[in-house]
Amino acid sequence: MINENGPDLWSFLPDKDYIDQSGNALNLRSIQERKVLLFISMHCVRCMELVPELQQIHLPQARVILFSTGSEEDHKELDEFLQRKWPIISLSSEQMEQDFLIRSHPFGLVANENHQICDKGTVYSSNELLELVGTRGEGTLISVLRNYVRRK
Amino acid sequence: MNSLYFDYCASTPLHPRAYRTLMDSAKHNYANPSSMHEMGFEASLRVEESREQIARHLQVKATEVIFTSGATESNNLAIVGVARAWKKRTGRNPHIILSQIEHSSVYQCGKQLAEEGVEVSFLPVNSNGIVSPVSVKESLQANTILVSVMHVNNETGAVQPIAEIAELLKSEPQIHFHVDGVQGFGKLQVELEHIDLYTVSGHKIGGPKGIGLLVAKEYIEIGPLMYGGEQEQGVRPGTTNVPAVLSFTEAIVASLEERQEKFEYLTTLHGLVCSRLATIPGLVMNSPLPPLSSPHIINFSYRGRGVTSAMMISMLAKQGIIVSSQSACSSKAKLSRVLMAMTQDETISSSSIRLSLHEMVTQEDAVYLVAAIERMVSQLKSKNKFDLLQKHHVNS
Repeated sequence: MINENGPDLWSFLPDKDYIDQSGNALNLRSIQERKVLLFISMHCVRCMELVPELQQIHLPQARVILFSTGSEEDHKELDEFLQRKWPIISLSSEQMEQDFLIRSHPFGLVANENHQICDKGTVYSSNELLELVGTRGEGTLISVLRNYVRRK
Repeated sequence: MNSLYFDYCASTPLHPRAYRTLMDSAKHNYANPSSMHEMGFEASLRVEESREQIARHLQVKATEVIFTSGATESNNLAIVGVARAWKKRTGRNPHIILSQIEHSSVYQCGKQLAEEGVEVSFLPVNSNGIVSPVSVKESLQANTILVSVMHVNNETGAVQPIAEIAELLKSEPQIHFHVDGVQGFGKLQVELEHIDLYTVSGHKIGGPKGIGLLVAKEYIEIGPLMYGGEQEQGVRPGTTNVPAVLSFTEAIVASLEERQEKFEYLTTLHGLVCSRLATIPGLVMNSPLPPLSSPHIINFSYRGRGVTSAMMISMLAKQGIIVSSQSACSSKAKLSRVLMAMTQDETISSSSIRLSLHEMVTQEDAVYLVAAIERMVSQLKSKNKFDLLQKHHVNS
């Protein structure tokens, strides 16, 4: 059986504190707005191809949280490169799988204000990220149809 | 920007002779060789002619050549097929010996068999990534039935002492010796007289993908991994891929005919690249020097600032250089199992680059490659590493 990447749609985000690159505790359930969780690995070529595109992207309609396998030093550099626009949380591949069922990278999750996963997908480019956050978000016809097919 | 490909260990372009044969046979030999009619019979004749031609070149019997879908299947057949057949016949668990640096299609067979109760020893390697025949000898047990050691390591190019291991196992007829010849075939000379099982892949030697072979000496008992047909003496059922077999045969013949000339050219290229890379501060050469390594593979790591293989693959790609780190079959792993076995160093094992060469690579290409690596290393020392992943850094 092939395992699907990421948690089931409409499941809830974990109620857990994470520490960002500045040492601040961050609980995803405390963010009362739409959230985009992006998972990358420093050992994944596709992720490294995506990173430069992230510098150009702006997602005012959602709070973006970047989960990365990098070290503290990596994340200082990455934070500087991304002009300190998003929290970056250090998480090993194993922890990503344990907490979010993420088995391959780069991967994105979109969660609604109620902390439920409303869309997810592989994100190879900024366009795919925009598509995941925008037109493929909760309530769109495409998303509803896709979720219906998935459940079938 | 044109790309320069340096990942010939992962796959090669079709040899012109293999390409012509593939096109021609795809057009004319489409009948199922197991069919009873004339066209099927014609196709089966072509397959058997190929088998005989390969057998002549490898100096084995035609009945000892088993066509498979590729090296992964050949390795599984050699290891799992032999171990399960022995277990079924004797009702006991055998012992098998593999090295820690085998390709995952061998290594994971060992892991799987261990779960099934088979005793599996994974032999260590020295700092050059080479297995010691002494450690093979010391690991032998009364129930040892199989030793599997690759000819040329796919990540570092380290040449394993297969002739010495074959020699020491010659006096142990109950122990079969399997050699994964995927990266050695067509590069180095190989004698199959005292090797019982030998794997070759089509697409690594200028043949098509989806075809490989296992040489299995006639006295070896192998259990099939699949069921449902009598093809390949029942050991490997399934419709024979006739165009791939014919094209693969051409690639094998061409590889052997051109081996010496290619070896000399690759040795020159290898020397050119290695001598310059070795002078770049911060780079650690992981491949041993010839004759301890095959001249078509060069592996190095970059020590410093959390730079990973994935980052360097991406940075070099911006300069039009296509390289890899581990085998394509293991490329999602964080650390190279092979380099960890050699060095026990996580920095080296997470920041390696494998360059694999081919006779199509010109000396000018090699000079450009080295210059691109020099540029990357120089920039890594002074800039934010994520800046270097951007395209505009290529010429800055």
